[in-house]
Amino acid sequence: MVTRSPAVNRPRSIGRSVPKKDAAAKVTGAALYVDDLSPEGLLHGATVRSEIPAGRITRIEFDSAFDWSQVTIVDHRDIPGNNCIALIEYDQPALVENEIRHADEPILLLAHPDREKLQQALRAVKVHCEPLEAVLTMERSIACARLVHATDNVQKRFLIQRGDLEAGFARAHKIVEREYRVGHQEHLYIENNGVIARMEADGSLVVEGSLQCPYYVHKALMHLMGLPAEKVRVVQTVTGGGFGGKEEYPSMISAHAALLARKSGRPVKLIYDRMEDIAATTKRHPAIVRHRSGVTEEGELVAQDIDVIMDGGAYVTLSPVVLSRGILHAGGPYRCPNVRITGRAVATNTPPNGAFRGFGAPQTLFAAELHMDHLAESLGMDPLEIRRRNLYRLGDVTPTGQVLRESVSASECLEKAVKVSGYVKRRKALDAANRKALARPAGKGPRKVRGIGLSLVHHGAGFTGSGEVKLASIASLDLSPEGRPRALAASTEIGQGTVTIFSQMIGDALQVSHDLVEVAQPDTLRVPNSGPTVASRTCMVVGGLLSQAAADMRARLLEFDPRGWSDDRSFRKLALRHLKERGALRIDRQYQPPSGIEWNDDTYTGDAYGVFAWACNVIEVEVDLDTGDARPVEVVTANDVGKAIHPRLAEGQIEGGVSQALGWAILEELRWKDGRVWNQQLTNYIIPTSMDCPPMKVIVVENPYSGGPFGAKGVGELPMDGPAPAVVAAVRHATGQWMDEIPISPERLLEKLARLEEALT
Amino acid sequence: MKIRCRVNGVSREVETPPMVRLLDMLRETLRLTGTKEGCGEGECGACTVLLNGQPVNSCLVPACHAEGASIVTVEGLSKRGKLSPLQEAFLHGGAQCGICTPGMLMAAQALLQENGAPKEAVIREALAGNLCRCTGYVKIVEAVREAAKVTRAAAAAKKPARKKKAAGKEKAGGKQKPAMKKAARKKPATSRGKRARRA
Amino acid sequence: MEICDFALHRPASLAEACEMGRMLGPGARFLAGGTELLPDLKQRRDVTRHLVDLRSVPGLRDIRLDSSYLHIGCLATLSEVAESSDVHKTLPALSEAILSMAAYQIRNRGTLGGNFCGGVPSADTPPICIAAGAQVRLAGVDGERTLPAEQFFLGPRKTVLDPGELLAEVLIPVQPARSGSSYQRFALRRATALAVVGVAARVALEKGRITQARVAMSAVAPVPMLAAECSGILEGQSPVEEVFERAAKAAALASRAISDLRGSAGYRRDLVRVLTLRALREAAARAGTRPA
Repeated sequence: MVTRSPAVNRPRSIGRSVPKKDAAAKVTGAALYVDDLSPEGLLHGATVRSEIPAGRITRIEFDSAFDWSQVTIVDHRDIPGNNCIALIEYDQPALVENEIRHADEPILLLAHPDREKLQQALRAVKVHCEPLEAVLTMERSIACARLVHATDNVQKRFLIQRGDLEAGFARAHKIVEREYRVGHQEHLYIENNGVIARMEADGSLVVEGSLQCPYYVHKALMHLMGLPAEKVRVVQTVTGGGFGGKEEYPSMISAHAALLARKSGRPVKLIYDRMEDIAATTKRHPAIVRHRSGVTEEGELVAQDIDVIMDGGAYVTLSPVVLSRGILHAGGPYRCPNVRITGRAVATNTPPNGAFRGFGAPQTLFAAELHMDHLAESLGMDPLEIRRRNLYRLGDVTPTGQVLRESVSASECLEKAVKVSGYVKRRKALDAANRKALARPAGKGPRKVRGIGLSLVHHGAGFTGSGEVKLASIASLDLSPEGRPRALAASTEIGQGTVTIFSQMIGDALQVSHDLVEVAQPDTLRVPNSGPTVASRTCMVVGGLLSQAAADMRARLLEFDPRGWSDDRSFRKLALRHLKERGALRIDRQYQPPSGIEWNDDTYTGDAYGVFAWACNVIEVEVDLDTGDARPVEVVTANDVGKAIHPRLAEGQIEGGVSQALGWAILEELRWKDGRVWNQQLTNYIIPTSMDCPPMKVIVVENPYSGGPFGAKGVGELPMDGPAPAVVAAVRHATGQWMDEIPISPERLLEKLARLEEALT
Repeated sequence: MKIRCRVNGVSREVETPPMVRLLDMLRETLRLTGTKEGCGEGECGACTVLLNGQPVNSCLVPACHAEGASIVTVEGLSKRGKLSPLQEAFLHGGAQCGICTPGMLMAAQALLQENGAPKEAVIREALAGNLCRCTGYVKIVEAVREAAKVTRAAAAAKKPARKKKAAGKEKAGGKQKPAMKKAARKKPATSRGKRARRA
Repeated sequence: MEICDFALHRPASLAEACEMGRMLGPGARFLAGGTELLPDLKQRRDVTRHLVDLRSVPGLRDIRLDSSYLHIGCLATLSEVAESSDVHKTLPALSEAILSMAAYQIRNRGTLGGNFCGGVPSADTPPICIAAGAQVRLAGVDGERTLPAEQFFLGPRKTVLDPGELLAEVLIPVQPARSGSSYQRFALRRATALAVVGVAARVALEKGRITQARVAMSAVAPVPMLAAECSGILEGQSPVEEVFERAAKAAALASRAISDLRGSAGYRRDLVRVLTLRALREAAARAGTRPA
């Protein structure tokens, strides 16, 4: 009956844009997000938070006029295990015991069957505090205005050194020194953080919710609740966006819901509203980056001295690793023989900053790219030319001493984006048009000018250094009772397409359709720890493990019945027969580092990443010289992702990432008042609408990586890295003004333009 | 108070306090959880439903104003388990995390009811009250255009030959009224955004 | 305050609505579209216990044009106003103001009356109405009164309305021959963002001279305000750039902007100048092309 051997490994679905598997339930409203679940006997939870950024609690007052009989109240004394959110360091309490270290820090938890009554209860609690001096800026932290962390307020330090800096500067024709600043950014997933927790009769805890990393939550809950691994179960519900904002924070909200569920004995739903989510959860780290670098007359980069400071916030959380990725990308995608990069994460009395798409790299690449433009200008060289002369090519060495052995596409991305955008011609054409616009008399047409700018970036694929090795992820593939191949992994679908690409990769390896493949809901009771859904590693690392597992499964099934299968039906038949005759079939694959990769955590030398992804963005902006309003009007973005498993999903990642980056560059600014977030609403923390996002031309470059499945390198974060510096370069081209700090608000730009006009008149 | 209304074509009678948000009435009382809450203040559009054919933020509508109204939610878009052309079009990248999708679909549905062949700028304007953080709106705009195309093609295939010609013209020139029943009943295509701009 | 605790009242007539409003006192609010009220209730900025739903009162949603006025009932939704052919005929800039200020979802629910009665300093419809010389007709227990629109506002979220009094309609006079209007707003993004500054201008021309001019502004004072100084500078002059510049500077001087999340006082003053200039240019250009 079976004639064709399944041994012929012909790609069937890889590289094709099949319908997104999770989308069907999302377009009908059938997909259940955490707030859509209402278990029997549910209580609603709420959090009493600090109103000041620093102080000591003196007294907590409960309004005696309020009926507290139905309210569950939890404070730090109700924590059965350790009062900490276990992550890198165990310094962040789940609930404040005495000292408040940032505004909106959780102090008490309340639960009530009725949401309205719960709101009343919240208002009936008053926390009395004795305020302490708050350290709210990086400068104040470095000056040790007050000690917030250890003996110097520094949460983490790094140093990368290569070559001879002095000798490099001695060779330089020009030396340029400059400081760049970037601000906080809110993830603004449209679904706020939320979980439901319940205690089972056997004393085990179940938490389900909107989250990226089930096993992070699992670990945190074990420590907090003093429970063994098997008594904690974490399940991901359909998640309405993450971007890093649901990487570590869900451990906190889960901890709170768990404590309320334990005390009340009832399921507790804890869902933040928008204001609470913006005020209390993590943000992108603000950064100050100083560059001093030297170039020869020909534009060759000969020395880079870079200092990176990031605002870690009140607790360590993920800041050391964010800083690490930041400094590893701080030099930009350029060859330089003499480099020193120093990095510090400093503590302030603000809510901890955390993971956000790009993870430190967008901040340092912003500075690196702008600095390249400054260097070009010092030489009277075109920004394109200086990049062509210095960009990484095969065999080049990075500041950590990593030799770039494969899949180096800086040049290809740059040239493709330049060609498609017509950058060179367009730049000249805009110069002429701008002169005309400026020569026009007042009142005869708008005073608008345009500019075009570009940026080139790289993004290390997957975890930094030895991260993957330490993590030793496992992903599994088994046969479901219906005879379908079923992926078991903790990697979450957060919109980016995990479920679809896993199905494609497994389907192709097994020579069945992607539709036949099931991807199990991430549930720590059922799936192994395939690691967190971060660092653009889902496709490259976990997808790789699943592809290997699928190849193993194919071999095992062929061993069982050498006649194999020719289609989905015959696969299922064979699989069911296997289940019946031989029992379950489950393949576990654990991560093995590719050979020849070496990393030294102590000296910060070696192969920081297995490979890099590359991108070039060319952006045109229009600036209204009277209002300072700068708006991107066109984006051309070339991104090397190794291999696009699903081209439309890859494009979607790029388009979404670019938009988020444009928001960060132009619109999005977190404002503070007395140490608290001032703009906590969508009316005043504004993100791009459909009318703000410009048309985009997306070029997907595919330069395969031998260590990734089908050559894939990951795409999630790369698009966040480049747009901001390209926008600033374009504004510079349009107006002659350097905006070394983002967001470029109209007000800031107008102020610069006005100062220029004053100087000219 | 008792509220009588039609939800997705079905007559319902709901007992609810008058100032409960329509959003909560739908999600909690009627258990139609497809409609989402993103901000609760009319900024994100995730809770968009059609109230008497018009897109509204259900977080800003008191239940008492649903009295006698016809309401369509995302659950009402597919007929007998078959996805609408708009839903179908969103399967290819228009929906990523999906939390904005129900509201986005309802806003797009309202647009397509009035304008069978919207230009890109018109689509972007019609969706400006619906925030999406995943897509950069590119695939969403494409999906709306695709749905309009499919719907026009289906309508053209159904009509007798004479009308087919008109639909063809409209496609070419983009100036004719869309060949859709509802569009004919409502205002011309230009009512969205353009007409009023003429000074 | 509990959402459940509200008492909803449905008056059958304007008089009954006013009577209810007076009897229920400061604990009562009139309910129109709800787009302002519901977020207020959610954030508990309000102590309302009673709501008087105006939708049961007949006639409040009408838009009609007679020989001297365009009447816009307080319950007319922003969409209805923006799409009304009578509005297009009389004051197209009002339609433009509405289209620029909010998305469809809000326009379909929010009302012109609500945009006025909210008393929000950055509201977009009051300036254009003020510039057009609009009046407001207020209905109360003791009868009616009609005021120039600029006198309606007292401060942020404060209006002249007495308890039991409501804004029944906005009256926009039929605009003079050879006149034109413009509304210019600046916001931090392209759609659905509150105005940092909004400026409306109405200019009437005769024989190459400005015969009437009115400039009104939003988001630069505790209330939407008329920049009365501008009229004096503009009227009797030729509609030329130099005159507009002087008026724009006067408007900037007259503004009483504060610094907030959307912009500093200084930036707002700059914007007033820029937007006044643009509004005057456009209004004058339209006046020049408008049939007499």
